[in-house]
Amino acid sequence: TLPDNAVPGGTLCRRRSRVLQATRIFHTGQPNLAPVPPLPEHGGKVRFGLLPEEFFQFLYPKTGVTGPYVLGTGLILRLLSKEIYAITPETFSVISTIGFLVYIVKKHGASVGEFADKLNEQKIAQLEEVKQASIKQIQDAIDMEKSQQALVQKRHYLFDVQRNNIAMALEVTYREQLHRVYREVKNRLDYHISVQNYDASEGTRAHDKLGGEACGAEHLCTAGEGNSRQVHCRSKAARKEGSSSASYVNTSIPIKTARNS
Amino acid sequence: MDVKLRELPIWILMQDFIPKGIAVVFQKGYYQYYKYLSMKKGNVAGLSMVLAAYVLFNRCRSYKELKQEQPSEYH
Repeated sequence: TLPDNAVPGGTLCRRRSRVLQATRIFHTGQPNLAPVPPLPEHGGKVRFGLLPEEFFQFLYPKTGVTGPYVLGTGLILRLLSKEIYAITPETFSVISTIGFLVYIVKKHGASVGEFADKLNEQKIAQLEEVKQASIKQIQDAIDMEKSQQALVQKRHYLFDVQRNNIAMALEVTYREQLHRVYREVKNRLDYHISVQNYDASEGTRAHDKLGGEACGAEHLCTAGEGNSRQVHCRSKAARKEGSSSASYVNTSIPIKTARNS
Repeated sequence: MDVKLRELPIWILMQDFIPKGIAVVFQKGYYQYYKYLSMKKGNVAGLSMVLAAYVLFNRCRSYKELKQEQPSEYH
């Protein structure tokens, strides 16, 4: 059987799954263990600490309110007169003992009850704390789960950022390579131009003796890295290069416009 | 109860005294008493009723010896 649990007032009680009136059928069917009903606040009423209230209610229809009292008085007088209970010196010690006990109970019963109630409440509060803590824990877990689920919804931002990064890197490399191409082409053209300039200068120096700058107009210059990347060149070799470089450069422009659009 | 007071001895003898029956009787009695025990705001009645019953029981057992203490002879 189950162990006894202390209950306020110092009385012992034993927890059972179901409390039945003894007149009813006893222990039929499966006992319902799961929701144990809570203890009642005040149990069966008792008068004088000895006689249960049911006795008074039992006699009430026949004899009214004073019935049980008259019965009690009659019984006590009969006991005394018939000497079923004899008055001995022991009687007085019994009277004083019981009187003392009654006095103690009446005086301090309530405070003892409150103390026991407080102990019980502490126990219940502890258990309640544990329950609340576990509930809170579970609630926190639920909230975290929810937030993580919400995060999953926002994953596409991450992917967008990554896509943007990749696109930017691609564009940067493209522009870098474009710039390299431009530089290489410019290099070659500069080379040819400088070669031509040199030849021209050779020619002018040679023609200086003849005195004429007519052929000096072969000076070529490249435009800076300004807006237009057009290179003016007239020599055939340069034109060949120029056509190819023009093709390079010209291809850059439609792409550039395409990028800008 | 359904048994009249006059028929009480016959009714007691009518019960079959098998161990299980006696156990059931004690269980029933305990459950009748249970409602004076199990409550939140306890009472002294739960304890005092048991003690009073014990006192009475012992007095009944030792009535023969106590009969000699009667002061008067005829009552």
